[in-house]
Amino acid sequence: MILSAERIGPAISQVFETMYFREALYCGSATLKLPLLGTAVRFSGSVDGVFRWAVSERLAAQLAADFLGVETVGFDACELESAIKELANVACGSTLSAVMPSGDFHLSLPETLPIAAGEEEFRHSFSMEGAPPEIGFDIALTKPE
Amino acid sequence: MQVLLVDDSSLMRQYVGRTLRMTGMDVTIHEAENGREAIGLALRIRPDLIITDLNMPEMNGEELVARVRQTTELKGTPVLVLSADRSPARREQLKRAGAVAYLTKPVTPEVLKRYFTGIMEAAL
Repeated sequence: MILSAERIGPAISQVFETMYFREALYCGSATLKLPLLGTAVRFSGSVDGVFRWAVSERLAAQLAADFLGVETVGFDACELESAIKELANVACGSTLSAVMPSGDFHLSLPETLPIAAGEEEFRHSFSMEGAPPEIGFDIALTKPE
Repeated sequence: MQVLLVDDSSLMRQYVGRTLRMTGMDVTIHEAENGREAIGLALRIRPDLIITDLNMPEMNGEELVARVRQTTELKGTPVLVLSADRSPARREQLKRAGAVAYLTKPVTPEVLKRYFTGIMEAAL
Protein backbone atom coordinates (compact mmCIF):
# COMPACT_ATOMS: atom_id res chain seq x y z
CA MET A 1 0.00 0.00 0.00
CA ILE A 2 1.59 3.28 -1.15
CA LEU A 3 -0.09 6.27 0.49
CA SER A 4 1.53 8.92 -1.70
CA ALA A 5 0.13 12.26 -2.81
CA GLU A 6 0.58 11.12 -6.42
CA ARG A 7 -1.90 8.32 -5.89
CA ILE A 8 -4.27 9.79 -3.32
CA GLY A 9 -4.64 13.24 -4.86
CA PRO A 10 -6.02 12.19 -8.27
CA ALA A 11 -8.26 9.49 -6.73
CA ILE A 12 -10.03 11.87 -4.36
CA SER A 13 -10.09 14.69 -6.92
CA GLN A 14 -11.91 12.41 -9.33
CA VAL A 15 -14.53 11.59 -6.69
CA PHE A 16 -15.25 15.28 -6.13
CA GLU A 17 -15.27 16.06 -9.82
CA THR A 18 -17.68 13.23 -10.61
CA MET A 19 -20.05 13.70 -7.68
CA TYR A 20 -19.99 17.47 -7.28
CA PHE A 21 -18.32 18.98 -10.37
CA ARG A 22 -15.80 20.54 -7.99
CA GLU A 23 -12.03 20.55 -7.87
CA ALA A 24 -10.38 19.25 -4.70
CA LEU A 25 -6.73 20.16 -4.18
CA TYR A 26 -4.45 17.84 -2.19
CA CYS A 27 -2.85 19.71 0.75
CA GLY A 28 -0.98 16.98 2.67
CA SER A 29 -1.37 16.85 6.44
CA ALA A 30 -3.48 19.54 8.08
CA THR A 31 -5.43 20.45 11.18
CA LEU A 32 -9.03 21.08 10.17
CA LYS A 33 -11.29 23.58 11.83
CA LEU A 34 -14.11 22.25 14.03
CA PRO A 35 -17.02 21.49 13.79
CA LEU A 36 -16.43 18.45 11.61
CA LEU A 37 -18.66 15.61 10.47
CA GLY A 38 -16.68 12.40 10.79
CA THR A 39 -17.17 8.91 9.41
CA ALA A 40 -15.25 5.66 9.81
CA VAL A 41 -15.27 2.95 7.14
CA ARG A 42 -13.67 -0.36 8.08
CA PHE A 43 -12.19 -2.45 5.33
CA SER A 44 -10.90 -5.98 5.10
CA GLY A 45 -9.29 -8.12 2.46
CA SER A 46 -5.77 -7.67 1.10
CA VAL A 47 -5.14 -5.56 4.20
CA ASP A 48 -7.49 -4.70 7.07
CA GLY A 49 -7.92 -1.22 8.47
CA VAL A 50 -10.04 1.82 9.15
CA PHE A 51 -10.57 4.82 6.91
CA ARG A 52 -11.25 7.92 9.06
CA TRP A 53 -12.88 10.71 7.10
CA ALA A 54 -13.97 14.25 8.05
CA VAL A 55 -15.59 17.18 6.32
CA SER A 56 -16.40 20.58 7.81
CA GLU A 57 -20.09 21.09 8.57
CA ARG A 58 -20.14 24.14 6.35
CA LEU A 59 -18.81 22.24 3.32
CA ALA A 60 -20.98 19.18 4.00
CA ALA A 61 -24.16 21.20 3.39
CA GLN A 62 -22.73 22.62 0.19
CA LEU A 63 -21.64 19.20 -1.08
CA ALA A 64 -25.03 17.62 -0.38
CA ALA A 65 -26.69 20.45 -2.30
CA ASP A 66 -24.28 20.13 -5.21
CA PHE A 67 -24.86 16.39 -5.39
CA LEU A 68 -28.61 16.86 -5.74
CA GLY A 69 -28.49 20.08 -7.70
CA VAL A 70 -30.52 21.96 -5.08
CA GLU A 71 -30.10 24.89 -2.68
CA THR A 72 -28.19 24.34 0.57
CA VAL A 73 -31.13 25.28 2.78
CA GLY A 74 -33.27 22.54 4.23
CA PHE A 75 -30.85 19.73 5.06
CA ASP A 76 -31.29 18.35 8.55
CA ALA A 77 -28.49 16.75 10.60
CA CYS A 78 -29.47 13.21 9.51
CA GLU A 79 -29.34 14.12 5.82
CA LEU A 80 -25.94 15.75 6.21
CA GLU A 81 -24.63 12.74 8.10
CA SER A 82 -25.98 10.45 5.39
CA ALA A 83 -24.35 12.59 2.70
CA ILE A 84 -20.97 12.45 4.40
CA LYS A 85 -21.23 8.70 4.98
CA GLU A 86 -21.94 8.16 1.29
CA LEU A 87 -19.01 10.36 0.34
CA ALA A 88 -16.72 8.54 2.81
CA ASN A 89 -17.75 5.20 1.37
CA VAL A 90 -16.96 6.28 -2.19
CA ALA A 91 -13.73 8.04 -1.15
CA CYS A 92 -12.57 4.95 0.75
CA GLY A 93 -13.19 2.65 -2.24
CA SER A 94 -11.42 5.03 -4.61
CA THR A 95 -8.45 5.55 -2.29
CA LEU A 96 -7.89 1.85 -1.65
CA SER A 97 -8.12 1.13 -5.35
CA ALA A 98 -5.55 3.88 -6.07
CA VAL A 99 -3.03 2.93 -3.39
CA MET A 100 -3.31 -0.83 -3.87
CA PRO A 101 -4.58 -1.44 -7.43
CA SER A 102 -4.28 -5.22 -7.21
CA GLY A 103 -5.91 -5.36 -3.77
CA ASP A 104 -9.28 -6.88 -3.04
CA PHE A 105 -11.29 -5.18 -0.30
CA HIS A 106 -14.63 -5.44 1.40
CA LEU A 107 -15.97 -2.19 2.88
CA SER A 108 -18.11 -2.05 6.00
CA LEU A 109 -21.13 0.15 6.50
CA PRO A 110 -19.89 3.69 7.25
CA GLU A 111 -20.20 4.63 10.93
CA THR A 112 -20.56 8.09 12.45
CA LEU A 113 -17.31 9.16 14.08
CA PRO A 114 -17.51 12.11 16.49
CA ILE A 115 -14.46 14.34 16.14
CA ALA A 116 -13.61 16.36 19.22
CA ALA A 117 -10.96 19.00 19.92
CA GLY A 118 -7.52 17.41 19.67
CA GLU A 119 -8.66 14.91 17.02
CA GLU A 120 -8.89 17.28 14.06
CA GLU A 121 -5.44 16.61 12.59
CA PHE A 122 -5.32 14.41 9.46
CA ARG A 123 -2.47 12.95 7.43
CA HIS A 124 -4.19 13.80 4.16
CA SER A 125 -6.33 16.84 3.47
CA PHE A 126 -8.01 18.63 0.60
CA SER A 127 -9.17 22.16 -0.04
CA MET A 128 -11.64 23.60 -2.48
CA GLU A 129 -11.53 26.83 -4.41
CA GLY A 130 -8.56 28.25 -2.53
CA ALA A 131 -10.17 27.90 0.93
CA PRO A 132 -8.23 26.32 3.82
CA PRO A 133 -8.50 22.49 3.92
CA GLU A 134 -11.97 21.34 4.99
CA ILE A 135 -11.68 17.65 4.09
CA GLY A 136 -9.32 15.19 5.75
CA PHE A 137 -8.65 11.51 6.13
CA ASP A 138 -6.34 8.93 7.66
CA ILE A 139 -5.91 5.24 7.07
CA ALA A 140 -4.96 3.04 10.03
CA LEU A 141 -4.07 -0.55 9.28
CA THR A 142 -5.18 -3.18 11.77
CA LYS A 143 -3.79 -6.12 9.77
CA PRO A 144 -0.85 -5.02 7.62
CA GLU A 145 0.30 -6.41 4.27
CA MET B 1 -41.67 1.81 -16.29
CA GLN B 2 -41.31 0.83 -12.63
CA VAL B 3 -37.83 1.17 -11.14
CA LEU B 4 -36.95 0.13 -7.59
CA LEU B 5 -33.98 1.94 -6.04
CA VAL B 6 -32.41 0.20 -3.05
CA ASP B 7 -29.87 2.15 -0.99
CA ASP B 8 -29.57 3.04 2.68
CA SER B 9 -28.52 6.55 1.66
CA SER B 10 -31.57 8.71 0.93
CA LEU B 11 -29.28 11.14 -0.85
CA MET B 12 -28.09 8.44 -3.24
CA ARG B 13 -31.67 7.35 -3.94
CA GLN B 14 -32.59 10.94 -4.75
CA TYR B 15 -29.56 11.30 -7.01
CA VAL B 16 -30.25 8.12 -8.97
CA GLY B 17 -33.97 8.86 -9.22
CA ARG B 18 -33.32 12.35 -10.53
CA THR B 19 -30.82 11.02 -13.06
CA LEU B 20 -33.22 8.38 -14.39
CA ARG B 21 -36.01 10.95 -14.79
CA MET B 22 -33.62 13.00 -16.90
CA THR B 23 -33.58 10.27 -19.55
CA GLY B 24 -37.02 11.41 -20.68
CA MET B 25 -38.37 7.88 -20.30
CA ASP B 26 -41.64 7.37 -18.46
CA VAL B 27 -40.19 6.25 -15.13
CA THR B 28 -41.91 5.68 -11.80
CA ILE B 29 -39.40 5.50 -8.96
CA HIS B 30 -39.92 3.36 -5.87
CA GLU B 31 -37.45 3.35 -2.98
CA ALA B 32 -36.29 0.91 -0.33
CA GLU B 33 -33.60 1.29 2.33
CA ASN B 34 -32.34 -2.28 2.32
CA GLY B 35 -32.75 -5.64 0.65
CA ARG B 36 -35.43 -6.91 3.01
CA GLU B 37 -37.65 -3.90 2.40
CA ALA B 38 -36.92 -4.17 -1.33
CA ILE B 39 -38.13 -7.76 -1.62
CA GLY B 40 -41.48 -6.93 -0.03
CA LEU B 41 -41.93 -3.88 -2.21
CA ALA B 42 -40.82 -5.68 -5.38
CA LEU B 43 -43.40 -8.41 -4.85
CA ARG B 44 -46.10 -5.73 -4.75
CA ILE B 45 -45.01 -3.48 -7.61
CA ARG B 46 -43.18 -6.00 -9.86
CA PRO B 47 -40.50 -3.53 -11.02
CA ASP B 48 -39.00 -3.53 -14.52
CA LEU B 49 -35.57 -2.86 -13.01
CA ILE B 50 -33.95 -2.98 -9.57
CA ILE B 51 -30.93 -0.76 -8.91
CA THR B 52 -29.20 -1.67 -5.66
CA ASP B 53 -26.31 -0.71 -3.44
CA LEU B 54 -24.31 -3.53 -1.83
CA ASN B 55 -23.46 -2.45 1.70
CA MET B 56 -26.76 -2.01 3.50
CA PRO B 57 -28.06 -3.00 6.94
CA GLU B 58 -30.49 -5.92 7.45
CA MET B 59 -30.12 -7.41 3.97
CA ASN B 60 -27.23 -6.44 1.69
CA GLY B 61 -27.19 -6.25 -2.09
CA GLU B 62 -25.69 -9.71 -2.59
CA GLU B 63 -28.47 -11.33 -0.60
CA LEU B 64 -31.01 -9.24 -2.49
CA VAL B 65 -29.73 -10.42 -5.88
CA ALA B 66 -29.84 -14.02 -4.69
CA ARG B 67 -33.38 -13.63 -3.28
CA VAL B 68 -34.62 -12.01 -6.49
CA ARG B 69 -33.25 -14.88 -8.55
CA GLN B 70 -34.81 -17.45 -6.20
CA THR B 71 -38.25 -15.81 -6.14
CA THR B 72 -40.51 -17.06 -8.93
CA GLU B 73 -42.36 -13.75 -9.35
CA LEU B 74 -39.12 -11.73 -9.57
CA LYS B 75 -36.48 -13.96 -11.09
CA GLY B 76 -36.69 -12.31 -14.52
CA THR B 77 -36.21 -8.79 -13.12
CA PRO B 78 -32.88 -7.24 -14.14
CA VAL B 79 -30.73 -6.05 -11.22
CA LEU B 80 -28.11 -3.35 -11.65
CA VAL B 81 -25.57 -3.05 -8.82
CA LEU B 82 -24.22 0.38 -7.93
CA SER B 83 -21.52 0.26 -5.26
CA ALA B 84 -18.36 1.92 -3.93
CA ASP B 85 -16.94 -1.56 -3.39
CA ARG B 86 -14.34 -2.21 -6.10
CA SER B 87 -13.52 -5.79 -5.18
CA PRO B 88 -13.05 -7.76 -8.43
CA ALA B 89 -14.03 -10.95 -6.60
CA ARG B 90 -17.28 -9.44 -5.37
CA ARG B 91 -18.05 -8.07 -8.82
CA GLU B 92 -17.55 -11.50 -10.37
CA GLN B 93 -19.61 -13.16 -7.66
CA LEU B 94 -22.51 -10.78 -8.32
CA LYS B 95 -22.38 -11.32 -12.05
CA ARG B 96 -22.52 -15.08 -11.43
CA ALA B 97 -25.42 -14.54 -9.03
CA GLY B 98 -27.38 -12.84 -11.81
CA ALA B 99 -26.73 -9.08 -11.66
CA VAL B 100 -26.89 -7.65 -15.20
CA ALA B 101 -24.28 -4.96 -14.55
CA TYR B 102 -22.04 -3.59 -11.80
CA LEU B 103 -21.23 0.11 -11.72
CA THR B 104 -18.65 1.56 -9.36
CA LYS B 105 -19.40 4.75 -7.45
CA PRO B 106 -18.77 7.56 -8.13
CA VAL B 107 -20.81 7.22 -11.28
CA THR B 108 -21.56 10.10 -13.63
CA PRO B 109 -25.17 10.79 -14.66
CA GLU B 110 -24.16 10.03 -18.26
CA VAL B 111 -22.90 6.54 -17.46
CA LEU B 112 -25.91 5.76 -15.29
CA LYS B 113 -28.32 6.93 -18.00
CA ARG B 114 -26.49 4.89 -20.63
CA TYR B 115 -26.71 1.68 -18.61
CA PHE B 116 -30.32 2.35 -17.67
CA THR B 117 -31.49 2.91 -21.23
CA GLY B 118 -29.42 -0.03 -22.47
CA ILE B 119 -30.95 -2.42 -19.93
CA MET B 120 -34.47 -1.13 -20.55
CA GLU B 121 -34.15 -1.36 -24.33
CA ALA B 122 -32.78 -4.90 -24.06
CA ALA B 123 -35.75 -5.86 -21.89
CA LEU B 124 -38.35 -4.61 -24.41
